[in-house]
Amino acid sequence: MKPKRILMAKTGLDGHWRGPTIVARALRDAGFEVIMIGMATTAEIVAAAIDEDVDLVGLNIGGHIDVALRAVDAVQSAAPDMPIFAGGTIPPHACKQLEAKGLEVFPPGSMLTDIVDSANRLTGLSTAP
Amino acid sequence: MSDVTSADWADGFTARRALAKSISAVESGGPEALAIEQRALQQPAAAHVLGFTGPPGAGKSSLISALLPHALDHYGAVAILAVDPSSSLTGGALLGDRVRMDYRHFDQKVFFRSMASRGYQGGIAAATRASVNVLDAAGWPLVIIETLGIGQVELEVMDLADRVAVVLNPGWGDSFQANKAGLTEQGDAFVLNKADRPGLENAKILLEQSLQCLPTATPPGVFSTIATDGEGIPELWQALSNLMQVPAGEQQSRRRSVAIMEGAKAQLLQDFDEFLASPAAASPETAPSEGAVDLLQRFYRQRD
Repeated sequence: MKPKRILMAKTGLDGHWRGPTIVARALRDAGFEVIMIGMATTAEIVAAAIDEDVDLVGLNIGGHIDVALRAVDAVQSAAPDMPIFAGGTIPPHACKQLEAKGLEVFPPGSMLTDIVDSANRLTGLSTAP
Repeated sequence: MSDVTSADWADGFTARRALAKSISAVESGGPEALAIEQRALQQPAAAHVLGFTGPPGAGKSSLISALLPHALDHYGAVAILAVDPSSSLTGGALLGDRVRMDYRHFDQKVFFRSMASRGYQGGIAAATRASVNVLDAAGWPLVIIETLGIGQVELEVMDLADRVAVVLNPGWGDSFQANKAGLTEQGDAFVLNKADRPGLENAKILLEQSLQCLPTATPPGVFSTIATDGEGIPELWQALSNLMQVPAGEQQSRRRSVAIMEGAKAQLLQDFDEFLASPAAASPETAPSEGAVDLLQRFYRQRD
């Protein structure tokens, strides 16, 4: 079976790498091809998602939620069929804003196993709820 | 160059996405992949192909990032295929070549695709050759291939690219390493990146001495660079662009014959697998060597 591909990007100017690196490793160990892009602008995230033809976009969000929401809108308008999930130090009200756009959100305290389950579900590898 | 004009880029990602999806189809393999490559090979080749190879962490991605503005000035648009290894345990991969890229130079004129090796040996992915052909057909004038971090013999990129740069570092090896077979026998230019590290002069001398023993009229050049601060980059680009003054598509006929051979091999393996699964393959108890010969004879007889 062809491995599923996930783009991992950081929105805004937050420079904390540990979180997305650990999540990327867990996804790699679960059999995904994880494309690391690092800190990127909205246009860079969209271009990478398209060129890399990913099955799922992962956004690591630190700081400004407005920047993240713009990235979500841009990906959803360029590739409406491409699912997105998000994680990071995201306050509860911002989680709600992201969820309202259809994202699965993993704030601090989330389990890696839950993130992997979500990736499996969003890329169609599992149908478990 | 329908995929790379600003007009196309401005009103949507349709063409770009179609290109990305045909590379995914090629990566998935099978009859559809061969059909896509066949279609791509019907176009006259126009692309130049430049390869970068070398051990892990030598700075291949950073070097490509530093050379990109020069390449864009020269060719107008650049497609990059960057290969990283897949885990043999899980099939997963961490594709990190984009992390080194300076996105200031990325716009509609750069197509960047990370590829996992998916178990393929040779320093590239099984789909790299077909992807080069697809990008060529889509009008990209320069395709850069970055291999995964290689050891000494994974040199298949030499068959795909017009020219290949081998990226090493000071302290990379002594005179025995420099004279071993493999890496230092091929390659059109040698780069000692991270040149601010100790041992540069020694590495340069050893490498040059080894390259002088090659049966070529002029040995490949050795260049010192520090990719992260741009040192030596203009000189390296000058040398590479001189080396790349070959007719565009020179290697396409080679890529075409490799495509034919690979297609034939895949078919042969499939036929043999089918034969193995059939009752006709059931072997009597014999010594392994006789058994293998017997099995092949029965396979060929059945195909006649």
